[in-house]
Amino acid sequence: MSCWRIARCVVPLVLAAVAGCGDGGTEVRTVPVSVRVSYPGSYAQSAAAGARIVLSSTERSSADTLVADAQGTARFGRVIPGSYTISASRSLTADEAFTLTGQRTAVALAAALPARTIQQGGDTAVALTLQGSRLGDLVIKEIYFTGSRTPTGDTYFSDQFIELYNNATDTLYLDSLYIADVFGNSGQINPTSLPTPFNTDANAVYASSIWQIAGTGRQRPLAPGRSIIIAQDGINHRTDPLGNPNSPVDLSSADFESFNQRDDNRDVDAPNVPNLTRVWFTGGFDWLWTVFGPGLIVFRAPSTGFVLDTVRVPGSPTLQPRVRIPNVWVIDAFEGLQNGGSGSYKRLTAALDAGFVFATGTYTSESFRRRTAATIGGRRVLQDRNNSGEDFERLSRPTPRTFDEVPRSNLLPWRAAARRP
Amino acid sequence: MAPLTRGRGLALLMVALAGARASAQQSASHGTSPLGRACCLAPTATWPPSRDTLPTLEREGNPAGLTTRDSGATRLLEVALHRTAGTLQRPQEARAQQEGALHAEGGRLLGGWRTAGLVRYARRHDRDVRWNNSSDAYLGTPYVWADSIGGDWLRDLVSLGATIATPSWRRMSAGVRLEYGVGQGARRNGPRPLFRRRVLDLVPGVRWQLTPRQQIGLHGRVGWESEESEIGGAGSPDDPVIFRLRGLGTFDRTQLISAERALLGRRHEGTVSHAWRSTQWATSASATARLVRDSVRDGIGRPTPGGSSRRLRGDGQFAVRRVVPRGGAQLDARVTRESARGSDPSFGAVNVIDQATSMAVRWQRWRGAAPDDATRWWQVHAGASTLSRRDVVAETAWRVAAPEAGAAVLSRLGGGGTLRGWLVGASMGRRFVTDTNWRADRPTRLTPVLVRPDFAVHATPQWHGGVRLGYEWRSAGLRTRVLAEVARTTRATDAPAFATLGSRTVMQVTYSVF
Repeated sequence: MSCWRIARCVVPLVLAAVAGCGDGGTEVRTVPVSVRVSYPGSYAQSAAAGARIVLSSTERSSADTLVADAQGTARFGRVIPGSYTISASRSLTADEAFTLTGQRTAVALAAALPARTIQQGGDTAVALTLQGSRLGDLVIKEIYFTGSRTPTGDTYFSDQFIELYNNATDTLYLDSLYIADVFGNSGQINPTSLPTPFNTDANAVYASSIWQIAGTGRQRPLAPGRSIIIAQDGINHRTDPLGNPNSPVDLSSADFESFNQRDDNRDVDAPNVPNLTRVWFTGGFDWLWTVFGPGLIVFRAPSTGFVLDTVRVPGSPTLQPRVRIPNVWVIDAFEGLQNGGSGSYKRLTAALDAGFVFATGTYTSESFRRRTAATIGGRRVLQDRNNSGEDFERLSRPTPRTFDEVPRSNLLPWRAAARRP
Repeated sequence: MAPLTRGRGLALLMVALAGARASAQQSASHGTSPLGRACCLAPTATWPPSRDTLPTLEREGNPAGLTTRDSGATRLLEVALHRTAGTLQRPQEARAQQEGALHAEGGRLLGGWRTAGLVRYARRHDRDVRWNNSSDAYLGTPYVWADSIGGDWLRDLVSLGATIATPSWRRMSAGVRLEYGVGQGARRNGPRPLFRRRVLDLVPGVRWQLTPRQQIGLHGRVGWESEESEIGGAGSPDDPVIFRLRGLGTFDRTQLISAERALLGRRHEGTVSHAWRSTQWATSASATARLVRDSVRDGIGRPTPGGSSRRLRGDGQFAVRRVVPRGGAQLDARVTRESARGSDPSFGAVNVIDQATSMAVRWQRWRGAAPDDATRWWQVHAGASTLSRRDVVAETAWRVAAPEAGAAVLSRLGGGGTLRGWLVGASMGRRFVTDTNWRADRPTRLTPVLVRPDFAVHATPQWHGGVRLGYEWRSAGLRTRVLAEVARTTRATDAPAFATLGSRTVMQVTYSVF
């Protein structure tokens, strides 16, 4: 066989192989996304008209919002494929709730699909069913969990705090109120990090540590529009010798601190700040929340008493048990995660908190404060849609007891277009 | 025939200088890619050529071509010190690189069978590497780990190669080559990222002797690569921030305690080649199609896809050599086209699209009975390349077209065939940029850090010049050579857009015995 004859056979085969391999996959194109929102099955009607639907990218700092039509649907026309958190919320007044449920109690409904991947290749339809929980009169106004940097660049986390706010029109009593952090990783902070194994229980949350405000019933009043601060350490973190001059907060006037009494006295008791009562504790020296983003709940136990329902962590027999808290006990909840793509690590069900927030990093001094929905007679009414991602805004530094204007902290600012050199 | 097949001469000199280093790197980086590092700093057909250019099937990469190698035993032992430094660099390259390498290769005739092998070890110190926590950010995949800290890296690289070819049987022979490369490196400052990379290639081939003068070959390649990267963990004072680069500006970032990433890749390649030779002439030609796929996975407990890329490449090569009693000449031509697409799991679609083409023609001529004893050697070369890159979501795209030309000369003082002599050489080249296009309609914070500077390097006209000085002596049938080389590539424009780019200098000292 001559070489030309062989070449005539082989070369076309090679060329065909090259051409036949193609380029693999199609380019990114926008796709339409339809979202249908329904009320819970027990409600008098299905379509949740007027529901607020938010499509927020977990990769870019962008979010689109639409309001559901009479059929409970909304259509986002040009969505870049990617990972999104799709959430919906609907607040019902007492009258609206009566029409739908027969119960004349205001309620907040929410639903979410965290880290939902939208891919091209056709119309994407998403269905959300709202879940309800009572509107909390007592809400978390602000949480500062990221910690700060010392002048030498070291890390400092003893200045964490949570601020609770009376969002109601009447005085509330904080006696016997519980505050707890929820078990579970904030994201893949280590290669082997897994979501909480408790996420299969939609009716409860699992607390790592539980603290309580002592009182007999009416000893801890909180007037409308007022707040209390619960500090990890109730000191002036800027000036205290054990503090951090770079800390953004002075918590020496905090209302409570979580003093963790130990035999080795590793946690220092601030004498001027009352202590919370330690109910259940699985931490170390302090009641430290993960600086990657904690889950926190505020709850009340039934008046019949609180019997600790401890549960072993599945797959981790050496860990201390966690405490099961039924959702119906929870007054307010907050969820922070590692980053925008960590939705699958959510620890709280959508009924309690349909979204989550995330900081730009650890030890950034960033704080998360609840947005103001309205101001009535000088009293702020804070937004409470049971969705941390919507209800809280990220601030560049904490604002304990105030609503001072501080710069918002943005993750990925888009820059102006630049063309040709 | 003798002038065509004797020894290795100047070709081996070139191999000793650049080929050994290049071959080891190629085993870890799939060969020179128009999308990769080689496209911007120096002319594509620069002097000296990086491998023996004798037109044979072996030159075209067919392991069965070893059967027709005329020389019996071959050997090479080389120690090289290498340094590259300068600001004419791609943004994820080291600002300076120092390497010490030991390279040995040889071949033997065992009965009718031919064998060849090589081993190479290199220790490399990369200074000021930024935005790259992998073995090489320009290997091909757009999905690269990075942090904003940067620092110095220490790397250990080992390459092994073995080839065996059968005797001719009914005018046919077969061969197989095994290439293995392993490398690991770690940054010397926190959070101390590290990588481990392994590459294994199996290259089987067959050869038919069609007529006494011509032969045809077919060979393929099946390759596997894996790279594991780690960052953070014990000893890290801070929670490191990881940037997952996903294209031309597209990225996501997060802070974590520790993380692991794995890259797995496969490649397939097929080549058909032809060689012809007569007393005075020799030609070879080949066509190659190559498909490379790789994918990235983050984490262990809950692995998440980090992106996959697919690169398709076609190569065509042709070489013709003519030898006359007092010298010889050779013409080499090469055409390459490569397209690459990166599929981003976040979008479920292709977000990164690259296209590259390159053409190069080189003509070399030598005076002397054989290339290895040539008293003079000249080369001129010319080529052109285009490179276009696009990121769909970031609405960023750029394109560069760059022709180039150059010349080189090498002279032996003392004449060919003497026992001792000096080698003196010089080269120069010019890279022109005839067309550029830049668009960034949705830039990110990394666009001015990584994308724009990379475009600038590609879009910069360049001058390239080098000098070489060596001394060679022979004793006991061995040839020993010490060679020093300095080459410099310089920005050839004063445009403000390229003000941050300066020059890049390569210095190398090589001690070879062969």
